[in-house]
Amino acid sequence: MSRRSFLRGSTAAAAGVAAMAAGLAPLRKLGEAISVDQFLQQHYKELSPADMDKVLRRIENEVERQYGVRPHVRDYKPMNGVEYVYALNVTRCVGCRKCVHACVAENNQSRDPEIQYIRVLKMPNGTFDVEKGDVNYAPESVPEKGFFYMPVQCHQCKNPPCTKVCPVKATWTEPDGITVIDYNWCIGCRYCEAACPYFARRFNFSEPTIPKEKLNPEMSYLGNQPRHKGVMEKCHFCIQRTRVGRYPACLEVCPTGSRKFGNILDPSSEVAHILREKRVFVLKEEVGTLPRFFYYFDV
Amino acid sequence: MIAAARKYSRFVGRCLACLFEGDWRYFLWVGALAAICALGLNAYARQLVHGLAITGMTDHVSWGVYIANFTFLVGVAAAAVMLVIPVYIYHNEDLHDLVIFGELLAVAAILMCLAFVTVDLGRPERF
Repeated sequence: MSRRSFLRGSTAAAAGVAAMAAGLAPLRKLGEAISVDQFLQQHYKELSPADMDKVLRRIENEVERQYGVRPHVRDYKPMNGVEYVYALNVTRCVGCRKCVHACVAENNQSRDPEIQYIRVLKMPNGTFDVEKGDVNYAPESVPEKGFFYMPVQCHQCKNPPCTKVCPVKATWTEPDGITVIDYNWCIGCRYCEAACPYFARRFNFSEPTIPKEKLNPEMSYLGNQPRHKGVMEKCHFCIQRTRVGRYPACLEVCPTGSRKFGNILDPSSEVAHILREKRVFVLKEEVGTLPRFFYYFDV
Repeated sequence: MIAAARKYSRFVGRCLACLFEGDWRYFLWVGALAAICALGLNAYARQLVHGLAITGMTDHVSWGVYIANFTFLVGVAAAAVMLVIPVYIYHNEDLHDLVIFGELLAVAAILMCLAFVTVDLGRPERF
């Protein structure tokens, strides 16, 4: 090798390395890398109770470090003989969107950008084209004359397309009918979002931001633990409330009583009565997802 | 065994040496391509820091150019490999040389496919 070609070669190599370093410079802002424990964590279903306990303590520590609030993270298990069903009275809903915001507050969704699980469609009376439903309506007061409102959220299907397409089995249906996501296993491919016919899933395209004082410290692993960027999330019927016998946040806040929730396996429950006695329909019946979310009319 | 390994490493060494043979036009071209690679690397580093939001994708358009390119290149790779059909079924000897290029194109396209799916993931480290 001649002196000349050596000099030329090493100059080119140095320039290459410098260009590479400049290209990778943004990685300095990556912040604290994910912990080894988090990286090595197993799938939810493969965690022993002792492992789960460790994971929950770790999440509590992480949340405390990030938000300065000591949360109470638990892994609520489904109850035997319970299958949750939601019924929503389309005649009564006035489109106030209180449920949307109660949901965001309860489930620690990102506030900026705001992630909402519930969309309220405004449609003219006499029509029923959900694709043309207006979700961005902003009148002085609701309800507006000549329109009706139809909230849409995860339908917790009995035959869910979203769980079938997941390449890593990070989402599945629990025995009580709630379709959940293991946020610590999801790789963020957004296949489930493409598969869902109800547009129920939401992706964390950027790092979620929640003001410290707005954090709900009562958390569940499969429910409202704070998510990281790059994972999917969706309505889970407020798993941290419903699995201990409380109503979902959206139901509690509804001023018109349009929302009904209960155990369909119990014949004396409110939802069982509605399904027996009212005019009930499901959204997009023709796609065969068998939702556990029903709409009904008063008439 | 050792002789084979030595032979192979010499082969790899010569291949690498081939990369640095050429006149100024060659180096200009390779340099320009390397600059584009560096830009892509920079864009991906920024995406890792800020999340997929900087690609402009939203919940409504959750798959974008990444997935479009991925599916396109899968087709390119498959088609390039399929060039062997006229050669080996219809015994078209003239196409032998072209098959080699087809395989090279397929390998390149598959590498790009892998890269495109990986950059599309929200949590690539878990993949």
